[in-house]
Amino acid sequence: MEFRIRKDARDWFKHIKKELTAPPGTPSAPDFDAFYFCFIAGICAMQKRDAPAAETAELVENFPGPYRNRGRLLIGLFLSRELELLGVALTDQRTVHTEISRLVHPEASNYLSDEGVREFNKYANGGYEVLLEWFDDRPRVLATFVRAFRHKVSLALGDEKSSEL
Amino acid sequence: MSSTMYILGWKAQGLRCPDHEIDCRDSAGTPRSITLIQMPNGTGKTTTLSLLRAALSGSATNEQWSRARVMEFQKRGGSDPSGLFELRLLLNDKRVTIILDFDFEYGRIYYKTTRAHGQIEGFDPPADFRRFMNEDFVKFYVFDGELADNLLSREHTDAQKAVESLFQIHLLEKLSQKISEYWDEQTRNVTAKDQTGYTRRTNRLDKWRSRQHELEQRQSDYKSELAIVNNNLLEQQAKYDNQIKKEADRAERMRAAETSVAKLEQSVHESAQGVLDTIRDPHAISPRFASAMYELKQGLDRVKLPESAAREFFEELAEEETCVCGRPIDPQTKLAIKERARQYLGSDDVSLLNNMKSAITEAVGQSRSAAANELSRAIDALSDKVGAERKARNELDDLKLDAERSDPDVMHAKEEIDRLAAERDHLEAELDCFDGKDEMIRFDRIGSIDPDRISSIETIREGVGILEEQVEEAAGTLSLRRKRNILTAILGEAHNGARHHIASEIKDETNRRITMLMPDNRIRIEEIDHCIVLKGQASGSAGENLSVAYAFLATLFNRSGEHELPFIVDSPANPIDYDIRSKIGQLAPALAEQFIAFVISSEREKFLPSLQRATDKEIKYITLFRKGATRHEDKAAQQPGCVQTSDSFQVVSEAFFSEFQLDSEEE
Repeated sequence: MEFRIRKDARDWFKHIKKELTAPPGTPSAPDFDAFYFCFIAGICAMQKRDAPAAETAELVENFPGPYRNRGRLLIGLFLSRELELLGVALTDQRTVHTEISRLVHPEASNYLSDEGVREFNKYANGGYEVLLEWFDDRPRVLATFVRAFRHKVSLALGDEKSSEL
Repeated sequence: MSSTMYILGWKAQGLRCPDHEIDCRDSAGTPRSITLIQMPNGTGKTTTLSLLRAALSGSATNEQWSRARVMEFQKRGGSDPSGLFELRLLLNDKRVTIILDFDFEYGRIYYKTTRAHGQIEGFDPPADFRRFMNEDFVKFYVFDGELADNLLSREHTDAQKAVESLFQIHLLEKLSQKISEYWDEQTRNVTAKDQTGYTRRTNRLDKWRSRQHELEQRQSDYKSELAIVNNNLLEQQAKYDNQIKKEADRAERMRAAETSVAKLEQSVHESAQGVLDTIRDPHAISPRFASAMYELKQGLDRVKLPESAAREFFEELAEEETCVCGRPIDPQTKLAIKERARQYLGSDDVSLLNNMKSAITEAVGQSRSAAANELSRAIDALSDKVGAERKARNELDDLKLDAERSDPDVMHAKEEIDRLAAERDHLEAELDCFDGKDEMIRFDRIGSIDPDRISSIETIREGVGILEEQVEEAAGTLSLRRKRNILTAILGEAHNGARHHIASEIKDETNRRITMLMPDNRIRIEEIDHCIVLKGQASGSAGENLSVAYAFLATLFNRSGEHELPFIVDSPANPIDYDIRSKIGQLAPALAEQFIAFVISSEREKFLPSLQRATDKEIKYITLFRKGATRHEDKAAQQPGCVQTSDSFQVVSEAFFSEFQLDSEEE
């Protein structure tokens, strides 16, 4: 099953799409970059939303280009937030096992079961709404957006007040 | 089916150009590959080319040409009420003659077409040739310098249309239209169970479709306007740059400031790319994310997940007769082992979780804040660079402002740029309205929605889809619509894909030809999107534009393979620099199977020798000039191949052609 991005979310990034490139030798994946920013915003605010298939566009089934070696970390972040959202204590071996088995599928190119991909996509769908709250306008310059995005995430998570963890 | 067209010759009588008859064949009656017609300016080259276009396109019918336009072709001072232009063609080895009868009393032109089955009234080329014999397409192979500029402008020629037409990609779109028309026809003919309900639904659908058409048309118009404005903006920017740098001292300071801005821009770009790649590490975005991942890894370790034994071990054990401890495994124990095996992860799951844990350890095992700190430093550095760029840009703006205040020309150019930029912003804002989806629309109440209040094309399309289904429900043609949708989606995708790939290949090949023509020139095509779009500039010099156009057309005609069309050109090398002329001469024989060029004597230099070297075929040399306008008449009359009409001399001879020196008629 493939990752899907909301069409309006994809459009939202259209002005910086050309700037969403990858390091030399790595294929770029600008739509997945847009999806990633949405996902992180959704994870940050713990906000998940369903979106009808007609309102979303198919992306890829794997972690493309610059995300190829970051897939397992993203799965780690996703699982940690998902278990937190479900209120599963990490000491509860049986429930942790059950939930992880439900969400992952080792043979899938994105390591996720169909249900896992659905939940993953929901964070990205919800995250787009978070981005709309964070930003008054669509991003127009990458250098401005990446700085503002980091700042918004830090504020939302309370990092700007926190010190070394 | 392949289509081969040759021009055998033409005859003009009683028209603005001198009476003449041109034969493009050799003595055996075969069309010559190259025919050069030397005519001094004022002899009627433009008239002859217009007549060729009219004969090849059928465009001079009463509906399309006004009386005044027809009268422009009457011989100067002539009282003859009629004139004639006859074009002889060889279409797929069959002779076709097209005649334009001019009636100057009524200002009308009557076409006659002669084919194998005899002569008929009207313009009637064979069906296989109609796509090449129409006004839009003829201008690509009966070519003049103006078209070269127009190929680069959205306001004039549609280069993409030429590509689509030649490769017949547009048939996919036409097929899609036919399918939709067929569906419309089917739904119209159906007798609905509830006629009132059916009529209400179709009326509603018509209204939504009309809105969809209106929005799509507006979007297309705005896009075209935006492309023109962007082109004009580039041109205006170039004018502004020229104006602002006309004073040497100011130009020097401007260049230094621009270099500084460009360097800092590049530095900001590189730095932003670096931050983007770091931000793709989720643990770098926030130490809290890093901690969450680390805690997951630690938690899994604590509860011993994944287990050291995988599910497969217990599943295999259940199939054994004795346990590893030596006790026999009875059916009840077997069942219990199988049941409890489900509590263990499979070996693949174990491997995945172990890999994930390793990735987490590698990324955040040492520190949960190191990556985030590194990102913070990169962002600080980026902010510094953005600040420096802003400062340099302000300095450049100050210089420009000084120039604008002290020089009205610069100020005027700046005002024009501002006006165009505002127009561009306005058009972009208008285009934005069509994007995205209107979240306020609730389709469960579609009957009460006024489509004229919707600006989102996606929303309107969705509404049209829902209403089409409702119409089909009433008419009982739902499965037909699904088939139509599948077919039109496939055709739409095929059309877009074909258009994109062919345009892209033609662009690459044309750029290779441009490199060959002008190795030291950096002008290149960025894309073919309606018109030819150049990289970083709206247009080039006259010579550059002509070279780009030749390279484009040579690519087009040579790639099509299945079609052979003549290429007729006025002054092929006239506005081109001497060093490029010879390259155009080399290229000309490869442009098409038949190359017919109208030239003036000064154009021969460099162009003619390279053309002669580039072909092993015989060239037909024709010199045509008006009687009473030159000193060459006696010499022409002595030539064996000289033909005289009431107002012209025509000599078919290479020697006479090469010695003839006259660019314009001598009054």
